[in-house]
Amino acid sequence: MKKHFSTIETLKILLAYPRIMYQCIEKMDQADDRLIDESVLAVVVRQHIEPLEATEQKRLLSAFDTDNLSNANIVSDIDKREDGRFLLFQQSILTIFRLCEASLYKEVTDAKLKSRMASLWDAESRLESATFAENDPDYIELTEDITEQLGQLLSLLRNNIIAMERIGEKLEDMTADASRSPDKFPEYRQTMFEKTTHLFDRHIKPTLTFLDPKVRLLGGKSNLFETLKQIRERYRTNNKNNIADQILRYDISFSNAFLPIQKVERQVDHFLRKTRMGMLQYNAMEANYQKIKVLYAKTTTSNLKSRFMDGSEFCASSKFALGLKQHTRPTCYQFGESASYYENIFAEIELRLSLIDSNHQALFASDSYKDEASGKQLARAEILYEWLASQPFRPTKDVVYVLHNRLSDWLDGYQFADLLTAMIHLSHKSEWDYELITTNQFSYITIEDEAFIYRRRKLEPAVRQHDD
Amino acid sequence: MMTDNPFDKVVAEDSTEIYKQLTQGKVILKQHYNDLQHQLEENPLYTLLFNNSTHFLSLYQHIGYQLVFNHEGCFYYLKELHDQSIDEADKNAFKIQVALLLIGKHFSATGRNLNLLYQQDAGLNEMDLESLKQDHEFGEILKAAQFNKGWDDALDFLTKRNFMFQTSLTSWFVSDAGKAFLEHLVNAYENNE
Repeated sequence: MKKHFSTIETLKILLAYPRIMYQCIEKMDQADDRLIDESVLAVVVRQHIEPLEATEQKRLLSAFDTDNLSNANIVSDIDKREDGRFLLFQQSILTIFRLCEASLYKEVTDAKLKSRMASLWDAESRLESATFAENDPDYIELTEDITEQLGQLLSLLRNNIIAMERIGEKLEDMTADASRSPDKFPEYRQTMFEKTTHLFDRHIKPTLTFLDPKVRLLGGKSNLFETLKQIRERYRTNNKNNIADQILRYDISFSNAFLPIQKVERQVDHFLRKTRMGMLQYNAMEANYQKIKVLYAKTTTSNLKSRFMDGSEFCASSKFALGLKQHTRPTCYQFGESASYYENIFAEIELRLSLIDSNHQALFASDSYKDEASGKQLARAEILYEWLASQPFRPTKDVVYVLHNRLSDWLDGYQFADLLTAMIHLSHKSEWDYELITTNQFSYITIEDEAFIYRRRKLEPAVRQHDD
Repeated sequence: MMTDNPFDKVVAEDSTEIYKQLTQGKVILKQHYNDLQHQLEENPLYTLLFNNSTHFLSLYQHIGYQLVFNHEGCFYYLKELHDQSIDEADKNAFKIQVALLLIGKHFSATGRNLNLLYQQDAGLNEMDLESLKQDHEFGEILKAAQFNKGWDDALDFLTKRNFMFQTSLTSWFVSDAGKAFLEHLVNAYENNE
C-alpha cells in the first residue's frame, strides 16, 4: 500500500508543484468538465516528475494517488464512468490554484450571475418577515447568509475583472495570424469577429449589465444596487446600522468594479473597428507588452534582490539604441598665472605645513572611542578641545568641511560625533578672532558609508565694534 | 604637397555643439522640433554629421567612441567603442524601450493608429497622461524599469534624449527615433520574428 499524507501535507505537495494542478484545471476547462479523468491526471503527474530524484518522484506519486487524494479530502467524489474513473476536486482547492494563476480565472457567465441575483432576491424577501432580534437564530443566520453572499459575489467579480483585463492578450492570440497576412485578412476577419463577439456577449456584457446601476431588469425586478438598497434600508429602519454600513461598503465596492469593465468593453469595441494595420499595431504592442510583463513578474518573486527588470534579453532582440548614455566630458584644470593665484597657493601650502608640524599623533589609543561609558566620552571630548585650541584657522566658506578633512586625517576611528563635538565647541567659543555664520547653502560629507547633509557655516574675521 | 584637411570643412562651433549634445546622451535627429516656431525643421547638425560622416566617424573613433547611425529613424548617437559598462548602457536602452512600448500600447488600446502618435498636432495629450498615470500595472512596470517617479520621470527621460518632443505643458509627440522603435516592433511582429 502506498503511503498516505494528511490533508495539509498533500496540499503542500500540490502547491510545491503548482504546474500539475494548473494543467489539470486547464484540461477540465477545455473539456468543460468539472471532473478530471484519473488517467489524464496520472499522465500529467508523470510528465512533471520526470526530472526529479527518485525519492521525490515517489513522494509525488503517493500524494497524487487517487486513494490519497480522496483520503485527504482533496478530491470530494470519484465518478465511475464507462471510460474510467473521474475525480471531482474540492471547489476550494481549485479556487486556490485559480487564484495563483490569473490565466485560470474563469469569466463569470450570465447564468451564474443570474443565480446569484436570485438568491439575493430570496434573502431580501426573507428579511421582510425577519424579527431583527439578536436572540432569534433565524435572523442571525439570515444576516450571516447575506454578508457571506455579498462577500462571495465580490470576490467572484474581482476575479472576473482580472480575467477580463487580460483581454488584450486574448484578442492578440485570436487575431495574430489574421493581422500578419494582408491577403487573408478579409477572410479571417469574419471568424475573428465571431470569436470576439462571443467573448463579448458571453462574458463581458453580462457582468457589465449586472453591475450597471441604471439597468432595468425584465419583469420589473430590482437590479443589484436596488436590491442592496432595499436590504440596507430594512436593516437601517430596524436600527441595525452596523450591518447597513457594511452593506453600503459592499455597494461601493460593486460600483467601483463597473469602471474597469467598461474600459474593457471600450477596448473590445475599438478593436472591432480596426483596420488590418491598426490591428497589427495593436497585436505587436500587446505581444511585446506580454514579454515585459514576464520580466516584471520575475521581480515579484520572493527574491528581494530582484527589484528591477532584467532587460538584457529584450534589448538584445530589439537592438534599439544600445549603448546610449550620457558621457562625461573631460574636466579642465583651472591653472592661473596671476599674483593672487600664487599667493593663494603659497598660503595654502604654509597652512598645510603648519598643520603637519603641529601635534601629529594618534590622539586616541585603544578603541576607547567605542566605549559608551560617559567618563571616557568626556575624556575624549577634552582631548578634542585641546586639539582644537592648537589648530590654526583662517576665513573659509565651509568650516564644517575643513574640520571634517582635518579630523579624518588626524583622528583614528573618526566618527560623526567627533565632528559634532568640535562644531559645538567652536560655536560656543568666546574671545575668538573669527565668527561662525550659518548660511542657507547645503552641502554634504560622507563618513564611512554614511552621508550627512548640513548647512554650510562660514568662518569670517570677527567684526569688533569699538565705537567708544 | 597639401592634403585636404577634413577639419577645414566643419565649423568648430557646430562640431562643439554636436559633441555637447551627443555627450548629454541625446540622439541627433534629421528633423528636430523647434520650440519657438512650434514646427519640425531640418536639423543642420544632422546634415553636417551626414555630409561629413567619415570625418566624424573617425573623429569619435580617435577619442574612444563609436558614432552610431540608425537607418530606420535617421538619427545619430554616441556609444563607447569598447564598452565595459554595457550594463548601464543597456539599462538606458531598456528604459527607453519600456516607456515607448507602454505609450504605444496605451495608444493602440484606445483605438488609435500609432501614426497619430508621431504627429506634432496629435500625439499624447493631457487625458492620455492622466489615464497612463491611473494604470496601476503600468506604474509598477515603470518602477521595475527604474523610473522611480513614474510617468513624469519617463516622459522627462524620453524628451531629454529626443525620443519625444514636448509641444506644450501637457502634450508630446514621438520623434522619428521613437517611431523607429515602435515600427520595428510592428514589423518584427508581422514577420513573426
